[in-house]
Amino acid sequence: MAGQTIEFKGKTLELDEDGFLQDPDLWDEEIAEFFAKEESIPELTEEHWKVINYIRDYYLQFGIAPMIRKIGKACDMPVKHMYQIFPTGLDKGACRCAGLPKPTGCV
Amino acid sequence: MPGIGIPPLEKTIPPIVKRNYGKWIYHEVPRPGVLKHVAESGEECYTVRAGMPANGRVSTALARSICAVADKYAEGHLRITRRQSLELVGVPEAQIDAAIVDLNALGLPVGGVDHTLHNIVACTGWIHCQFAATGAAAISKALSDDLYDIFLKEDLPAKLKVAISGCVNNCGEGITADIGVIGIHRDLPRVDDEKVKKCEMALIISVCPTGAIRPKPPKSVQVDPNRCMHCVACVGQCEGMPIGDPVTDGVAIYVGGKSGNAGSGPNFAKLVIPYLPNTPPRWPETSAAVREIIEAWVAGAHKHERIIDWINRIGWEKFFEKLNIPMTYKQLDGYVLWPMSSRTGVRFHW
Amino acid sequence: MTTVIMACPTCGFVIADFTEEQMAAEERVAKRYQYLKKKQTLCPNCLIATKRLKELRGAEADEAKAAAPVFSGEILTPEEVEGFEEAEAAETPLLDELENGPWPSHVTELKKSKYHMMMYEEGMRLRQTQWGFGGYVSLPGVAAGILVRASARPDIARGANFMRMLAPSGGYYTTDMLRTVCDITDEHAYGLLHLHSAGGDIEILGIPTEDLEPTVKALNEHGFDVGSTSDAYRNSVDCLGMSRCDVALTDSMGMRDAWYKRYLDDVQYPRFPHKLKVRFSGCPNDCARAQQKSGIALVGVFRDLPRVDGDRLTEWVGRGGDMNAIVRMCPTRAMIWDGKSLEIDADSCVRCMFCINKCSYAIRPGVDRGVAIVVGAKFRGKYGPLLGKVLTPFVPANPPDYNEVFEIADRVADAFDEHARRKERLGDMIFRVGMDQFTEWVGVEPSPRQMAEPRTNVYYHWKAEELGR
Repeated sequence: MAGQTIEFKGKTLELDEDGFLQDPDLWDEEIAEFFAKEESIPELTEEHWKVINYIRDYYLQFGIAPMIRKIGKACDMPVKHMYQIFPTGLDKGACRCAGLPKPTGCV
Repeated sequence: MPGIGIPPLEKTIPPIVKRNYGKWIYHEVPRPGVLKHVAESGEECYTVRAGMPANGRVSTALARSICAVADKYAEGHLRITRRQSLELVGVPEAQIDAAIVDLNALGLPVGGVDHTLHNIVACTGWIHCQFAATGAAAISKALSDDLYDIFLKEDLPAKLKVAISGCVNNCGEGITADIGVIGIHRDLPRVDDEKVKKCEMALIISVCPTGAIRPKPPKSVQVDPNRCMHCVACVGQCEGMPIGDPVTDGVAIYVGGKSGNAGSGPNFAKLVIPYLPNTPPRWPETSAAVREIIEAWVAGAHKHERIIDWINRIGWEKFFEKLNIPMTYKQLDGYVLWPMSSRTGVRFHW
Repeated sequence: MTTVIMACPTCGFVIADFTEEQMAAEERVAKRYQYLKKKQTLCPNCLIATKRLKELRGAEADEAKAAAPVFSGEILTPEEVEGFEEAEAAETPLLDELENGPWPSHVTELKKSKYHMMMYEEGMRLRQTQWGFGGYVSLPGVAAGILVRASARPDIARGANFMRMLAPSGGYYTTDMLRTVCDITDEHAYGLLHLHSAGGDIEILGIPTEDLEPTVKALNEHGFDVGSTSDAYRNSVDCLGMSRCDVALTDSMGMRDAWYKRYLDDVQYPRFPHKLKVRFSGCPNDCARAQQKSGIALVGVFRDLPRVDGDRLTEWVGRGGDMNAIVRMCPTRAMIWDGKSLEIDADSCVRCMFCINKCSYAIRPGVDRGVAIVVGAKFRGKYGPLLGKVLTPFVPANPPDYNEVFEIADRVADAFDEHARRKERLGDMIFRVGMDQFTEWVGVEPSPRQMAEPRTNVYYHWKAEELGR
């Protein structure tokens, strides 16, 4: 499965094979909402935005996705709850909504 | 969906174990491959242990056949050990012979208890792994064939554990075993700029233990050939850093690992042969090296002496001498923890 | 629609079945059918059992051998291999060689499943793994337990998902459970089990992406669970403990059960900077290899002396037991044996269990038992393989919830979570910050039993409030 290009509200977005945004600078809140629907999140609530904004700020500052504990602390949420509001996972769901590249890693 | 946890213990353990849980008082090895445990109540529990295909790869067909044997002799219970071997726990004494015949008919050899070669542990290697520098499962099969006679008998000085890891990640736990075969890469990861672009660069750079990976503008990384020591840490972090190489990959032989505290205590195995080539399908050089080490140990060890206990007594210099292993700069440690393996004092075995 | 079932004439095992439709639609299937028809009469199991492999394959096996092992020095990249489709259906000579020999062959097992043999054969031929980059897959609601490995040879096979199923404590199964797992594997995956992977889980290989959710559901329905990937607690591994061991000091299986009751969420919802492994060993023999591999190793220990039963010892020696060999091997020479009675010197004995292992009939472990917590062992990462370091030498182990033990383990995990860098293992973190700092973070009393020997330098840090000004 190769990457794809989608047209979204007048912008051309390049996605990688897992649907992650190729260029984080193109991100805006509408894109987050669009991705959220695909990540089985019916609606982005305040809690979602707290997590998304934190991840995004952290990424823009350090160039790396934050550790999950840090997200939990900053947003004052238990880890399990975060997984419940982002059912496809924090690495996939939340990072995708925040416009980050796919966090990698195995073993 | 998740949240279930592991199957409850009461359901999985055999009845004889449930009756005598925590009440075992001694054990014996009445014959190779068979354990006899005696409980306070006087009840005797016989366990038949069998080797399994390399890497514990079992087709459902064989698994079902094993289940049938377990139904017949062990009240419908079976156990997979920490060394990927199979145990039938609670086989009635009179049926041990029949159980062994049935296991043999499935192709599973009975043995690997106490003072002998235990089932060889291997990781998946080239069957299904991105890191593997060697076909660990294939080496395991080749070595098992080669050492088959030892497995069936029970006449070594102490137990012998052999394990094969496909790479330095050591999923096959090669570094914990008496003799470990560990796959090594010797070449650099090949950076694919297009793919690295999509990864978290900060992470690739930070996981490198020696700082050999540096940014290459605009959006890629470069690997410093003088610092890289092929640890595959970066390979797992980004798709654009594959490392396997058909010509230069190979295996290293480690000797003297041990996890128990008895005797000389827990320790990792030590590097003895820095490199042997990959020679599928049967890795004859590796096989020969392992057999030589075993033969030297059997010839020199006292009763109950594991390989490392024997080496501690005679010294590593004697070990290298006995086996005619050429000494190179590679065996001398130069990595961060090197002072731990360098000798202090001038007490030598001559 | 016609279905061809190829069954073994001896045992009736179904080697493969093909529908006409399948064969018409997929060339690969048709070729596999032709290949099987040409090559195999018995199922691989019977072939080995009857030891007639050679006669049945005769010339073919010899040919394969002759063609196989010599390394010509010429290595073809996948692109250079021409006519690959023909090779697919034709030969796997290198792997066939591994079906010979007395040991049960994993190749035979792989061939009985739906695994793509050519991926392995090409790996053997090209001397390089044919699998590509791996990662984790999460489903809605399933945050850990599923992995994917891409294929570096899309011309042979696509990448494959696999799932880690948490194995029961001690590795005990009922045959019904194992059959259920077989059924699920047959239905959704390659029909191949991994008993067990190094992490103590069954890996179910080859689940198509659309089948992932049904597989998890099917496993759940039968009381199994998935997990043990990513930066969470990995599946914990235990020895068989008191279930069938005469020297076990603590109930490692029970402890693992209690662990899963308490920490299941942390196994299934990743939250740490890197993976963290917990292992339970019932005694210092450490069959679970906890001190070598796990971030948190809970090892059963005892504090009083081994108990020697004089009468039984005399009986054992009378039966031919070799006490001298045991006394000679005692690592601290704590045993005094005059041929009749055995004494153990309390100051010398390190409770290593050597004498108990060799003569559990007459020498039994002491009764003052608990758990030692050893932290930071690992194989890979920044500083290479590191053995676990003693954090606390004795904690009472009180079933059923083992609160005292788990509370300290909890604090270890918290310290790791708080202070480690991303993708830094616990062992590396301890190496970076030092045992003094780490012990203080965890908040256990320092103990001389944490040291091999005291330090030789005085380069430690005094805080301003410690100076007493």
